[in-house]
Amino acid sequence: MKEKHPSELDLARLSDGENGDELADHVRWCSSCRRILADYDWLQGELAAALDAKSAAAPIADPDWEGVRSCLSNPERDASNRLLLVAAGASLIAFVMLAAPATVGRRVQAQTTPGGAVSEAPSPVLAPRVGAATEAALSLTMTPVDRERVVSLPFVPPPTPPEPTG
Amino acid sequence: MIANRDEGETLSQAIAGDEGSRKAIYHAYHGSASRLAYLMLRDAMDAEEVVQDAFVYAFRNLDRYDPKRGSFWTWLRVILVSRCRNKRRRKRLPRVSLEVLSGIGQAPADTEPSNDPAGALERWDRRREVYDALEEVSPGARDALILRYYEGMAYAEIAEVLGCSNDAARSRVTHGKSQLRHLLTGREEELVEERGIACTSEVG
Repeated sequence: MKEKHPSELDLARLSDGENGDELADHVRWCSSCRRILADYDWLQGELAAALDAKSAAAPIADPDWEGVRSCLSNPERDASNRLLLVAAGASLIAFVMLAAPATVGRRVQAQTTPGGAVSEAPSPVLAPRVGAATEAALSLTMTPVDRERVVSLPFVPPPTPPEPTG
Repeated sequence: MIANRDEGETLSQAIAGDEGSRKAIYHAYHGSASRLAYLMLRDAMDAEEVVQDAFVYAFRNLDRYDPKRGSFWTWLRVILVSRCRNKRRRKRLPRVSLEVLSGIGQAPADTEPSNDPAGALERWDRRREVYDALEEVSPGARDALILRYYEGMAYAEIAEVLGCSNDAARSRVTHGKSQLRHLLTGREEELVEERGIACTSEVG
């Protein structure tokens, strides 16, 4: 039966002293996993040594207790920070108040619409000039029509019959 | 560092407002704090600023320190690492190669005394490669690796310092190591290829 290799992350954990005996058993006879594990062992040692060397060579400034002490005894910085925070908060509120009315208005309109659905008023549409047939038909109606504001009709209405006389 | 018993006394006096005790604590931890900050930020001036800021915060909030939860250094380290990470977030760190650092005399020194200059050089090269590769690891994993392999912290401590779960801390270390291994083996393969090409061209 072919045994499944552990994942690389499992091997990385094993190199850190984690994961169980089962994995250690596998590594004992599997040379490819043993090679990866050896890489991790080497890496950990080198990493610790590289970090130690780097920190030992770090250009550390001399301790400046006076600097710390003056910050501790000087609450001005804290006060000015608080002032800055308050100013930033106030300007944010002002911005929201200036920028929000349009959005808020729309929301109020939406809330007043029954049924929760948002209905928008139709925008005005400029009607095209009606054709001659429509004009003629309209001229026969008894209703006075404002010719300048004729609305477009989707059909041509039949002429209204004349009212019986006598 | 201050011995445990002395630290307790010194801290009690510092909490009571004794300036001499605060000064003693500052001097005891300044070096360790500066080195850790430098490893995390790779900039001496930034490290100095962050260390000072961390001490000021710690002294102002000394009454919040609970000795039952850990040593003063553990507490200070949480403050320091958090400030280092904020600093790094605010300022996108430029990647400085070790060639540049060695040019200005900031390359890692070989701390192991040896009579074998060739061995020392090889060691220095190897560590430089590892450190170079560490710069390419994702920031979260890099922080975890520094805390694990420089500070020697347990996963629970790393989790506390980085503000994540134990599993996340473990995962960051594992993934960081895996990234490092791939970076280093990738470079090795490139080097072998380059050498192979060079050998072929020499033969040809």
